[in-house]
Amino acid sequence: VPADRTPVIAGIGLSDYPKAPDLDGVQHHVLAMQRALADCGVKKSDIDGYVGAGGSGVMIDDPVTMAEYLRIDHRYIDSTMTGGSSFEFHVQHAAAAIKDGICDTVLITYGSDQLSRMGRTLGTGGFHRTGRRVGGPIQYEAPYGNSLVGAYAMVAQRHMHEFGTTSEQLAEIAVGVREFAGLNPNAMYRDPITVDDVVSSRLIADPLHKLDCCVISDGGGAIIMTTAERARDLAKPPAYVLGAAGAQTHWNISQMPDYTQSAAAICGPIAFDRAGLAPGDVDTIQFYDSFTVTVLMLLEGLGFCGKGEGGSFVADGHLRRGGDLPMNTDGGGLSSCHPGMRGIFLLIESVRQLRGDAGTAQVPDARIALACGSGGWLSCIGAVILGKEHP
Amino acid sequence: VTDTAEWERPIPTLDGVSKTYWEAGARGELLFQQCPACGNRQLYPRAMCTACGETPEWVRASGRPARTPPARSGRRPWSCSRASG
Repeated sequence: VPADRTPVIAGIGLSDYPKAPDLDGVQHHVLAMQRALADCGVKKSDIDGYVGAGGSGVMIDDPVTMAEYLRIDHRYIDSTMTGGSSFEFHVQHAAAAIKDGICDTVLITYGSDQLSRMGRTLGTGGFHRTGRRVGGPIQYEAPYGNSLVGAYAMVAQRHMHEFGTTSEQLAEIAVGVREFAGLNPNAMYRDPITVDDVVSSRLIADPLHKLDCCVISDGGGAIIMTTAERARDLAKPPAYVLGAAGAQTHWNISQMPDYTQSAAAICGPIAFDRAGLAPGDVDTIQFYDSFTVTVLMLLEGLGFCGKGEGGSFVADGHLRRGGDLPMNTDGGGLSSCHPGMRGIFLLIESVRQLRGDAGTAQVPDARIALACGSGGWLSCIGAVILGKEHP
Repeated sequence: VTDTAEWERPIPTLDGVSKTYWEAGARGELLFQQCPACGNRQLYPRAMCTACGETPEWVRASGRPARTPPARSGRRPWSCSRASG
């Protein structure tokens, strides 16, 4: 009988968040790795693949440096960097490598001390500071004052213009995520909020208010992937990778082909097709919530509702605790943890749900979870469908 | 954008293509690109046509206003008001 090389996520680990002043970015990588190894019982010496995207901020944590620092003598390495969605792309790539026999056990790590080292000086996306010289394609946008939140605001404006979406509908997303944050003792903000709280919070980039925007935190995560065969001997039940896909429509916001359609509309159907599933089969979603409108775009792109219907869909409460599609059950980036690139946390929370380890935030009988990351400015979208049962 | 001392925004780093674009801008001209092979028009400017990969040519914009969708009334414009100093 040939070995069962079905790719799985076997181990998960989080470093400390939302604020860990004693840890630098690399230490976040390390702590998350140590906890992922302890979680599943894999030995570090068993790891023969390393995947990362850097992103710690001040520290040097590019993947080849990290592979050396962690002393992973790999025969598979991937340094795909698509922004916050990098880790959804990583799972897609690592799953293919494992299935193909290039390697057996892959470690993915991320760590960032963004809050403790840089504070909130990023503001609305501080890569375009006064007097800074900007090269490459962003030189055609940055001189006019665009910002990170400004790019997402353009998308929200367009959605409102074309479909009548309202700020109150977007606010429903933040309210629902905050409800889950209240269940997570580590979440940065835990007090309940209302739609009125969101729409009356300070306007950051019209139409996005302060509470439409994610937090800035510290944090790190690690994932260990291997074959279903190896996972049988490990400490925790595996989460099976049923389908994974990613796509890119642009990088800089001026090049987005259609401001109301993201690459989720391309990679979503591919991921579902690979999994042999449809949106209606999904029990919980962990979506990149850099801003409330990000969620709206991913919902429509992946087909959880029709194009333009995202506003009424979220207002109907599907994503809330007790709804039929609970989202961001750890409190999300909007209320809990966003150290710069949140994609790895979407996968980790999906695995917690499938294991039944999510405590008071547990989605009853969660069997299929979907993690969807958005990198850049809704530029690179990666979708990973995970299952509790062997496909 | 001749007096950079008063300019509060980031400043472009000129490269082989953007040099032409920004130097024209300093003369008060807006350039875009058109592909001699397939006719594709593009902005921002690149060393190749995004449609077919051939080398594009520069075209000076006429300066006539384009037809644009109506703005939403009663909303503050998104774009920065201080860009021109």
